[in-house]
Amino acid sequence: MTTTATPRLALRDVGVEFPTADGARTVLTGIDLDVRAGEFVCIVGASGSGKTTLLRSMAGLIPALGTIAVDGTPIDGPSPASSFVFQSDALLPWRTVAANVALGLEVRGVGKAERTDRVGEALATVRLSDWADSFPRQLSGGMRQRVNIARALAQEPSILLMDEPFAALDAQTRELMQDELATLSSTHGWTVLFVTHQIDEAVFLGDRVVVLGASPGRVREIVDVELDRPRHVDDKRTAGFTAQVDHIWRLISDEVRVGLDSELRHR
Amino acid sequence: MSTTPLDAPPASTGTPPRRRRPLGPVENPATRYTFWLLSFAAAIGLWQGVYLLQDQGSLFLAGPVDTLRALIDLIVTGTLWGDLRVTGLELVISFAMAVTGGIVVGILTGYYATAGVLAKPWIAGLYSTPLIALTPLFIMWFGIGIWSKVAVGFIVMIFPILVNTALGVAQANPDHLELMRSMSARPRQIVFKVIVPGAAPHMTTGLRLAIGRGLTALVGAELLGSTAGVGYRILFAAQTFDTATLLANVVVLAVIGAILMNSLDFLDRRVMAYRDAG
Repeated sequence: MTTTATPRLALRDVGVEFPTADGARTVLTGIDLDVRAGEFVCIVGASGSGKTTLLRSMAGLIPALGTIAVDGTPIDGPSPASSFVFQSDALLPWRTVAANVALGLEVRGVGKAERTDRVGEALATVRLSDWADSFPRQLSGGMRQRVNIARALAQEPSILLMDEPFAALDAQTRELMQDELATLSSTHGWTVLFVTHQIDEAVFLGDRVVVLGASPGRVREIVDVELDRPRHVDDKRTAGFTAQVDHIWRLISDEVRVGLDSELRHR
Repeated sequence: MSTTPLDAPPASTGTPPRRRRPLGPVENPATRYTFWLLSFAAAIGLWQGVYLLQDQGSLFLAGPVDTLRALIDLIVTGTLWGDLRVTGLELVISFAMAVTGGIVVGILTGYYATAGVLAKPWIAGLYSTPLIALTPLFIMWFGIGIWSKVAVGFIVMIFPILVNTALGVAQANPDHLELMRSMSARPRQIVFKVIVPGAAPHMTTGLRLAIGRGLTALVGAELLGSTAGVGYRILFAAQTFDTATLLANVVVLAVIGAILMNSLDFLDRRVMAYRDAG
């Protein structure tokens, strides 16, 4: 390999095994991946390919075989270097928007003045400054995901780990959120790992798309996205975009079908 | 560009309509108080009717007027304050002990699976046992004064608090727990920032059950053997066939019960304030 700088995130021969009644079941195996600082990498795959498991192992939420290193330092548990954006927004309903965003900073013992600054900045980034004193139940699904993202941003992580954050949103809101995330991440130079089951979302957002194959999950192909930045929703209507989505769909469609068929057989 | 996100909720004021049961005419506070007054008047009227119809004191039933006179008498002579001080002190001490013990043990049994398994048969066995039956034993141990009543109050009140706290803790949202774990939160932080606030509504339910049962048990224990307190006054009145004083003390207990329940409603609303924000 010819990389000169240490990658922001480096995975070497990463695997995950879950214990079951009849011995360990391999969920992921032999994953090698280098992510540069400022890179946006999406992870797609059929259900059961272990994409969320891979993200959770990067977050240190589940133990993994092999090594996962952030800026050259191997991790062995949740680390302040990365922040996780959950699919369910997991907002605490009894806390205001601002207090929810402050949660990670409180946990880390950041002082009140700095906390207020960083919460204000994170809320401004996701354009929710006017809603700081509202409670989560007063917000729409899209706004709740903004709070979820702001909570991760406030922790100033070197890596954002996002697990299908837009999956529960309606189609129009999702498009706008994708557009905004693409703009924000390229302006701020965020390093993002983004799991999704939507191939067009992955191609639209990612610099690269990691395509996982199933049973056990392993890297099928890493696709370089040939789309200029800044990206716009209209880019989704171009021939180049469609070609890349089709290519990835062909890589995983067999497994999606096999998965569906076996599901039907078991019921 | 506007500062309001495009995915803002449709109501530009940010107040989604509150969904609640239609209350009809009783929604108006004035109407509500009128309803209450009318129902009280009806009950007192019924009471007076039975009193007048009985065969000259054969039921040992005092009428509303006699009862009110007895109540005034209790107040002017200061008897009531002496009794309330004793029963109130018993309630405050035993409630404080039960709240502390119930919440601590409830969190432990709800959070740690082993503690939960260990506690389960004890809770199942003791939760609905009328522990007031232990009063004679406590009187032997702690004497006929307030401490035997405190012991009864504690043992009766700790279970509803403990069981409901444990339930609330065990129902903590797994997404919230994982979020805290992803932030490398320490167990103490997980307990105080997520588990306890999440279980707060269950805890107030436990307090409400406890206080009702506790007041009942304390007065019951006083009836079984005591030298002071509202229960003692009731027993004393019964032994002297003074039904007016007996009923006056029951009225006092009803008022105390109503005050305690209202304070808990207030606590409940404070705990759940975020639900009504808007």
